[in-house]
Amino acid sequence: MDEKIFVCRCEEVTLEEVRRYIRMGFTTFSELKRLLRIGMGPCQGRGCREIVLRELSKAKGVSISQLSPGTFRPPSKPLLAGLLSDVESKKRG
Amino acid sequence: MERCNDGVRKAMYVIRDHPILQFSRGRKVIFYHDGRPLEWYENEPIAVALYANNVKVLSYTKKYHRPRGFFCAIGKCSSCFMKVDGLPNVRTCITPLKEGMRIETQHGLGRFTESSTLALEEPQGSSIVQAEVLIIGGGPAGLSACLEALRWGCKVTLVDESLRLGGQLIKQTHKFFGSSKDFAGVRGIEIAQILQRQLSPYIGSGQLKVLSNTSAVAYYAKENVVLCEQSEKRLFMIEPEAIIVSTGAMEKLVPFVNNDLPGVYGAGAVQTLMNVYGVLPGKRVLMVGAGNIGLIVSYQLLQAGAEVAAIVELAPSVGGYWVHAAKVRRLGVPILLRHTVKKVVGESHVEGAVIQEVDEKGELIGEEKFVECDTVCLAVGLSPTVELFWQAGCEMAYVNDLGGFVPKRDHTLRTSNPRFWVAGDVAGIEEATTAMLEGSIAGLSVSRALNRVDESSFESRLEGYWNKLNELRMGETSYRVRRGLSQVFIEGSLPLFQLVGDSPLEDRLQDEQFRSGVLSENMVETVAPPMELWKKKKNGLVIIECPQKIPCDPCHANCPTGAILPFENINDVPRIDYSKCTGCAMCVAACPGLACFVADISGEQAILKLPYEMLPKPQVGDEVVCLDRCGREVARSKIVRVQEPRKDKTYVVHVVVPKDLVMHVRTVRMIDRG
Repeated sequence: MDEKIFVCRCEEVTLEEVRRYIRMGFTTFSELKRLLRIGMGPCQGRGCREIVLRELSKAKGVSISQLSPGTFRPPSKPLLAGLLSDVESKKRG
Repeated sequence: MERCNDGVRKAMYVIRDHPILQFSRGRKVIFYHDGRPLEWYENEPIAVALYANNVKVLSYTKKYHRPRGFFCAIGKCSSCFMKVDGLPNVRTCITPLKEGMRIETQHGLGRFTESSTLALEEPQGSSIVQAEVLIIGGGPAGLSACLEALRWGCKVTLVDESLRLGGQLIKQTHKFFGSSKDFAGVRGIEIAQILQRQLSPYIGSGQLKVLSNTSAVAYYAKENVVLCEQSEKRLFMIEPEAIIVSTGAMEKLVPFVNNDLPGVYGAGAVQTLMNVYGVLPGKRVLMVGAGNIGLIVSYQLLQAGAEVAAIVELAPSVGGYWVHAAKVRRLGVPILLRHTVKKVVGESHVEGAVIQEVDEKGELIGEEKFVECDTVCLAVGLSPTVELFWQAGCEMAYVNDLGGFVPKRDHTLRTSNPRFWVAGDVAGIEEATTAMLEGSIAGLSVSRALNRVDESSFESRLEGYWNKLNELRMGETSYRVRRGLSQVFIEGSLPLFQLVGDSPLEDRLQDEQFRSGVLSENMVETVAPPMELWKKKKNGLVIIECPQKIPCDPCHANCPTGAILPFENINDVPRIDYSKCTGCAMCVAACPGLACFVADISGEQAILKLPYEMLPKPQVGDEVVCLDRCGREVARSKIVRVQEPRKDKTYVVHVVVPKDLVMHVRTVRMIDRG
């Protein structure tokens, strides 16, 4: 098996990739998310967000508290589309 | 592969005997894994059922087709996705096993089986449910918040993701620290039961509604609704007047090579597996992290019958309570300070790990070392589960000392969104005792906001809770928590929170041995009783090896003669009036840190009275190996007396040792009776 260090288990993004993209100039969590899908998998960034922010903080020389962790869009876990449409139709009455 | 007569594979990792726990299992049912029949107990999580049957790979990933197992085992990380009865992406760590279930290894994103019909539940009434107080998360904080709010007459809806209430309490087999007036000396599993017993009348009366196996997956601020999903079958919204979020935390992932390999598990997952469901995660474990969780779980692994190869810790000293470190050291587990995991090796499952020393700056130095193990347990810290606060627009702060982003709050734990309160680990990583107090504060504050509590009762009760919290946070190991909390109170709120407390000695002032949980040579003398009295005292005198200021008092509370003096501050180290000590060993059985011992040197040979919480159960006449503080064999002996546990499961065993070993021997290991 290839030797990989994973930052994001869900979307299989490696530390090497994150660092490469940061070097390319993508220095916000949101940019990395859009480009690498980091934090967009089923756990919604619960595992990776902090590691990425730490990398960004090191690269930019600022503390994590000054970095934006990106948007936390609902839902925080995968839902059945059938269930969603069910709720929607009931809401409309 | 071993097979039973009926062709069902035999469970290989099942814990049959445990010194503390009894596993009440339900009905055994047959289910199918990739078409092959297996059996396990109904209603336990699917992932547990598979693990017990030696199935550790649950899926193959979509990009690199790598094998995946579970990681958090509490429904948070979604690493455990499998296809269940035709439905892909089911979180098998919190989905209960049913008879005849067809479970399939998921490849990539997973596809629906075309013929599968999904068992969606018939909608029950409206999809929007009203709630006065909604509490999200039924761990120590959430359950305490429930109790407090119910006590004042609030109507409460409790939403909890797991199959069993109690959060992480249900896997804590160790006795709690803190005050004996609260839960000190009681094991976490029992605390969970006590809290649930207190809640049950409210369920009966309808004042409390509990929704188990239900996840709060979103908060929509404009509409003020929380979207909830129950057992993958029902989706509904709750429109609450007030919300207490006590969602806890998730294990942090550590970046090292192959950190996604099955066998790399969060400490919470390991505890779930072995302490809730009686399934061993592995035979030989490498623990990463020597905070309280790493130390406690290591001890629990030993109790469950696994071997702990080592504990590696990046910091120059153990981060958890020193007594917890001493407990595992004397059982022979090495704690390697300033070490890190570099890489895990294995094809489809962990077969070993490469560790290396780091210098003060965190740079790798020295030679790589290979550790043979089948499990790597991560206990490097937790991240608060805070999505709902972000969605609610709460003001957040990144505080490293508290584990990451946490919501700012006032002294009643209300956040900047007036509908939201916070309590427990999600407010900052601490431990269950403080989480319960925070839950009580949040429950009280909600009740006040809903006008159920009059001003003066509110103020006095609030102050009472804060006094306890401040006291618990005064110890040496809480200094980071105090530092972190000083940054999270909303400006203008007058916190009852106090910054005072003890700081640990600087690392350079202590020797390496002490920093990894073994009493320094020069400290051994200071814990020995005064020789003149000791020599004469039949039945012996107490020796307490508890050098660190932590909040704990059961040694005093259980001392029938007053020899262990009252604590002025609960964080003080114990003080002893030796003239009153009768060597009864009540403190030996009661101490949550197993740091009390009794030595009788009045006879020809010395008798040591030692705490014992391992298997096999001790009997008079059993041959034992005597171990010193580092787990080295220093003598062989026999058990001459066993004090049965009075109210708990800790035995006190009496062993005869040569007098010159009285200050060396600190535990025993049974020699096989067979």
